[in-house]
Amino acid sequence: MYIFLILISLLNFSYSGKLEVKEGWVRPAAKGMNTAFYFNIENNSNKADTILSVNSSAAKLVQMHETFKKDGMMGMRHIEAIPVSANSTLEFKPGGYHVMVMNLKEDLKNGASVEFTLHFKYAGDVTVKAPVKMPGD
Amino acid sequence: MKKINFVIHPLTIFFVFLLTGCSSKPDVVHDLSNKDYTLINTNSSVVHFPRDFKEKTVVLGFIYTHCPDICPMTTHNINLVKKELNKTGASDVTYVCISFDPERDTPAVLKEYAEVRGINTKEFHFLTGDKSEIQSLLKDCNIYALPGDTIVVDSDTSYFYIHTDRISVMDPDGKIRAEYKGSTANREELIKDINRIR
Repeated sequence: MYIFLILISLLNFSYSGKLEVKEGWVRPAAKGMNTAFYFNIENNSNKADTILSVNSSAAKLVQMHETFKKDGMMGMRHIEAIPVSANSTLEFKPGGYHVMVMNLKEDLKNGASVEFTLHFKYAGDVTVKAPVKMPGD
Repeated sequence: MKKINFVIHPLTIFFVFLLTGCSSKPDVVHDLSNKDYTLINTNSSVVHFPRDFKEKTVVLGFIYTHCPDICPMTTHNINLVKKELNKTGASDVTYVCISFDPERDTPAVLKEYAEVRGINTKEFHFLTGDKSEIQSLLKDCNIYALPGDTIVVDSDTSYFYIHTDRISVMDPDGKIRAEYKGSTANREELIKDINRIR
């Protein structure tokens, strides 16, 4: 009986589902300016992961940031790495975590798309193409 | 002679109160009616604010164009309100965003900011100006913008603000009568208040 339970728990522990980046989108912005990349990370595995960084050739600098509220005002701070819990969805959304895309090399207009590579501690690199749009479009 | 007794039902009082309450304008939050701020629009023309928008109800946002998250949401919210009110032919309402980062937000930068978002600057005005003039306007509207993080990109230092997140509604006399959190404003509530104020 004990051996059976140990086997079951091992099977459960070693099960590795997919980690997916979904529903990505980018706000329109002009060349030389900044914008934000939003998405959901669906971690369907039993193993926690960490998003370490994000890259894109569309901008000179790409960083993960968090919007915060202080004394009734809004600000942003750079985040080095963000944990992604097992069997959970982590949202990068307006007013929360977002990927700041700074000093754009070209105009980003509605209908265009931008490629991003997200680097995870365990899942490795995940590359996605995000449409440029406004929420509600 | 038959005596007629008038009895006012409590519900009647409630509905009268409700109706008068709904139709009256919200109280003045900031009075700019005697102010004259000299600002510049996206065509580099001088704009006297709020004088040049007299007889219009102004939906007013405060932004800076280097902001990647909050200010674009404020701009987008105002633009969605504009689209909604345009459907009703509300020609007595106009839309304005004022930059609190005049050093970087030149008329040309503001024009690009609007154009890349498909915003027509003849209907939705983006204003900047002299730093001291902008500071004076921000103070009168109780808007704060403090320097926050700086980031070096290609040896250029870029800075960000910690700032008030605000959309205001100003009546045709230059009196601000309603304020909302700009990035997350409830557009239905905003439109309802605009219709009470205009």
